[in-house]
Amino acid sequence: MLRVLLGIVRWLCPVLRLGKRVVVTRHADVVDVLERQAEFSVVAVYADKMRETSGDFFLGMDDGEVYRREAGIMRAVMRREDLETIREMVRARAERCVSAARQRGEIDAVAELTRHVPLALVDEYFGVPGPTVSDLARWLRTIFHHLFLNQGNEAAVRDPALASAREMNAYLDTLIAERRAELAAGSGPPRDDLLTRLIRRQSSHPDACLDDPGIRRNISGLIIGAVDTTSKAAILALGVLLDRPPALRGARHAAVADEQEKLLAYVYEALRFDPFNPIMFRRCVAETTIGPRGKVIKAGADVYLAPLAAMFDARAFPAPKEFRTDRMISAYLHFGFALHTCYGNFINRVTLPEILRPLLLDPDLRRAAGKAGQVVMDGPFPDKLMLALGRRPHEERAA
Amino acid sequence: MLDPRPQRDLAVIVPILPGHEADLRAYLDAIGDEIPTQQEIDFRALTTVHYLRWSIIDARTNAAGEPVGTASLVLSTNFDPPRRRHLDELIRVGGAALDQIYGHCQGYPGRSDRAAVRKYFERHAVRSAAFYVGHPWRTVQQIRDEKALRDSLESAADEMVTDGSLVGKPAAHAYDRLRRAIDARGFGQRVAYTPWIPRTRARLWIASVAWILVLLPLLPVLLVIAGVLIIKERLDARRDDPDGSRALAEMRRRIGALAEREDYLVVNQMTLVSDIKPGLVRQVSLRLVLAAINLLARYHYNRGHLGGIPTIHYARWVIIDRGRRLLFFSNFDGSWESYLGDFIDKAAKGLTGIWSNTRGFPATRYLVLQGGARDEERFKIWARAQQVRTQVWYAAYPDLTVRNINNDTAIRCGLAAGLTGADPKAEIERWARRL
Repeated sequence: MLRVLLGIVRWLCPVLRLGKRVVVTRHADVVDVLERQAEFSVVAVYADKMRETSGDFFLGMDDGEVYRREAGIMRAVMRREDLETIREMVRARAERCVSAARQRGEIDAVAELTRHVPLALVDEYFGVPGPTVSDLARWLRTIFHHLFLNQGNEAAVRDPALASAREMNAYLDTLIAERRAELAAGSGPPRDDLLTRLIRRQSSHPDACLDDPGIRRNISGLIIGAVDTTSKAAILALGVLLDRPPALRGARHAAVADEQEKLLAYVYEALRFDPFNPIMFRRCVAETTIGPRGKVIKAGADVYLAPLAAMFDARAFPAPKEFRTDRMISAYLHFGFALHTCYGNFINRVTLPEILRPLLLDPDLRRAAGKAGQVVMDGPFPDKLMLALGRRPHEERAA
Repeated sequence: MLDPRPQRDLAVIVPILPGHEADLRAYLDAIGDEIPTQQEIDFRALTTVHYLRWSIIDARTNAAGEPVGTASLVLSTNFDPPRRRHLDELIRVGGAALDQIYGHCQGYPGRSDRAAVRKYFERHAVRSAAFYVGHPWRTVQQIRDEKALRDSLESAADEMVTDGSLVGKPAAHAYDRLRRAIDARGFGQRVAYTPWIPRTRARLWIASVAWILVLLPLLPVLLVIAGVLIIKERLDARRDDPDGSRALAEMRRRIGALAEREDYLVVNQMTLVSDIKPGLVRQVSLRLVLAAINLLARYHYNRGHLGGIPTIHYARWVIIDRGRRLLFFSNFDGSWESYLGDFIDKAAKGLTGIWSNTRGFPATRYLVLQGGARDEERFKIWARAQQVRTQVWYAAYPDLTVRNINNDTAIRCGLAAGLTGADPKAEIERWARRL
């Protein structure tokens, strides 16, 4: 529905001004606004909420010295080789989740898979196990909801987020201190997660490291965006595939043959039809214009960028209504563009297909009968989706 | 109606304060001599500008050869719309240098009031009578991105050739791998530009038919104009420097100063100022010809060549001084000599149609059918004599020819959509040859 509406808006009025609000729908204009980050700021949108929850985090800062320093350190501790490690972690974990459910013949895709696996990754790769997994899950969901999806700043969303932030910050402070003590004493299991790397960096690179509050701010910034986002994206992509049998068959072939790039193309193309981030926000800081016609945008205007419409703009996505897997992965706007591209941009290319792969291997995969087969939402997040599984995955049957 | 040339043109012409011309000339020359390194204006910070130039043009002379009024400063840019954003950027990047430059000119409000400066430019902006672009549709950013894409493709192709992984593989395999290599380098958003070839043939027809319908009742008048022109040309030829000796002397005087700023880059520029011959008939015929050229440039010659000449980045004609003078700006690939040679070989009629209405142009017979620009020696001498020195000249991509730019776009288009037409093999081979 929203897509059709935005399509009409793009056709009639690609830069639509509604009082203080501006809706941008053409691909070229969306990309242009994302690149002009000095004029269209993220700070005004996110900084206050970040400050009251996780503390400042670089993805919520405009370009500047602090941004470059912190983003540089965070990018330095994450290495390209990690992607293969992450792939192994996620693949093993996801396969275990699905095979555990197989005997029952059904699975709650959200709780047992798409949320479970990223939470495990937050423990194993980011280094934050949480006091209990359910506490950690609750914190991350409530804080994310307030930070990114509470445009009206409603108390019902804000209060639980602030409570979670207090609990999580206290927990992280303790965790960092304990981890450092553990590392100094040489006790505890051998670790190479991001939190550990950041702590080690304090002694190995004293002039390019984060202090303890800095580590807490940045680690929490990352994990807040790591779980419910991944889960939602996976569920949305899965939903599109389930409703398009030819695409589902194609994705299954790619999963069976373990063609990673092909499977990724299926997942990202599916996500284009139901993007996790249909609208993005920016605020205009100084009077300027958008688009070749020069629509004047006043300072203080709220700018709504619509990747949902931009990714159906035939000028950038030829034959937009077709489900095609020959599009470039880097052309999708699922994770933003330019300075504030999602930090997990490359991790997602591994985690999303790997989380869904064991489900796709199942030739009998389908929605559970009746209402249970539809997604149950908790606010903006998928909370439950029951799927029926076959007795055996494809490989075993073939064998 | 969508103009198929989103690259727009701007000419701002302001009178210079009496007695300030020498100082202004010295200041502009200092900037113009060192475009890449000078400290006054950081041209690289301009994101909306394809080309920019400042030229000083002498005061107009009356029939007796005496100057009327003062010299003027011409600012000419090719920019990405909207104009307002372009002007705001120019004022911001121009900074204190703008105050230095326009402090020598009449009526400049000073940079402290930016909106007033923008209005000042807008007030003195003069519309082009005709405007041709050799690489329409594309923004500066797009042209640079497409160049980066081609460079990246070439390096990826080199790697694949060096490691031998393409030996014995079909072209489609190489294409696929190159496309993935580009994707991995994050070019996805950079290949997603709007395809540029506009489907405007139908509009050309509609516009032409509309024109013919308007002009048909005026046919007797047009015939009279044509007849008067033929006779006038005969008379002018007798009066106006029949052996070209005056123009020759003029050329020797000017040529040294002009060539200084030429032939040191792939792309060159020229600015011509011509006096339009007096009389209503000349005014009408000049404007009709320019309007026709503008129409053709907009709807027909929008694929990279003007009348078969593929080396023109842009060409613009602006009528100034209430119809008394004609300004011409152009950027082109290669040397001045070969540019004019191309013009003579391929577009002599068009040239003659325009400039036969100005003083000193080689005489024509039977309108554009004989003489005029075909008289090569005299034409080149005349052109030199019309040329004025361009004090400051900036080009955003001075190392790209028109062919390079259009070829880069074709390469990019071939990657964006994927080549899946009726005969993908032939398509891919055609694509690969562009690399």
